[in-house]
Amino acid sequence: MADQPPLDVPTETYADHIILRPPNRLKARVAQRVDPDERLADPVRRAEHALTLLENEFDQWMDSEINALEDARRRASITHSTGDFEELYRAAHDIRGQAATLGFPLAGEVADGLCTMIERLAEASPQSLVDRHVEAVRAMVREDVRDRDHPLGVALVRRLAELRRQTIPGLSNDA
Amino acid sequence: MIRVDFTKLRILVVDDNAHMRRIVRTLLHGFGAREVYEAEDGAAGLELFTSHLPDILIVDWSMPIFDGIELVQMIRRPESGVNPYVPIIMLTGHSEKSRVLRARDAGVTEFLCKPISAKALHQRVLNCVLHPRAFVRTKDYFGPDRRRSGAAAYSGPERRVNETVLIDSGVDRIRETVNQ
Repeated sequence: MADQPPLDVPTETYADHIILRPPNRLKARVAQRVDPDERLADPVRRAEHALTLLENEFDQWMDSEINALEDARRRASITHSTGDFEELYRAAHDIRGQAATLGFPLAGEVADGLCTMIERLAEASPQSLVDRHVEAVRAMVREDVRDRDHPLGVALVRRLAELRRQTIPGLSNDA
Repeated sequence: MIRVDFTKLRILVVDDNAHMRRIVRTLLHGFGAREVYEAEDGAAGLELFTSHLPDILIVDWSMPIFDGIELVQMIRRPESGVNPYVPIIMLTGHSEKSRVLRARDAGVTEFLCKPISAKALHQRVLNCVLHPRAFVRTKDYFGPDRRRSGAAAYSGPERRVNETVLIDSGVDRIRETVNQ
């Protein structure tokens, strides 16, 4: 059962701020002292193992994320509206956050580049360059290009970065 | 040696992406957590926070209706009848320094960049349970003390002249953990 919020919190009052020290009931409830020699299962390893059991679903998840990205790209290319570009940004943002976990870190880098471009240029992002990013993400997943061991994938990432630098004023080399 | 019993923790995950919720839930279950609740936007998250009183929140930044930052600001109301001191972990694809500082200024307890790792998430939860910071209330801030190091031993005048330095070291630490 979760704790109720503490009612009486010790405070120290200063000229421009108050320090509050709520009692740490959470630690008292869930922290346990254990014998260092006792063999306990490593919770991090257990969690990593649990995640590997999901891996057979990852390709399908990645596909569904890319479908969302392509749908958003299609809508934004027709309307050029702020709302649709925000939707496109969210779809790319989802991929940059998840692609590495789902086994496609390089596609995540491409999505990160697309996010950077939309952050800087918004609706003024050139459609051709948006298309290249979206198609690169799709191609990487289709061709099973996962990480930096794949020279063609790395070359594609570099080329897209170069195109972004040519297009976005003041973009640094590592963006 | 201290161990955190995750079976006794109640955790709320607020993220609009179903895949990410599933990943986080899987990791939390792997740590041993049994009570994990999910919400797909800020409004549903606030409702579940009020009704289920979780021990810890894990919140995405970008979400429809209202986003993770707005959710944190709604929770961090000192007069709130619901627990305004609840630990909040911001889990986000935004890793820019400006975003980290904005999250900090909204009252986030821990910041965790995607891609998520079991080790980094576990460490953030442990920090929340074992090393909670005091809260600070000023005219425009209510949340965990934004100075992470040495505050207890400080005996000089009550001026925050070193704040920038301390913030920077905090950001560096966050980035180091992100790259684990």
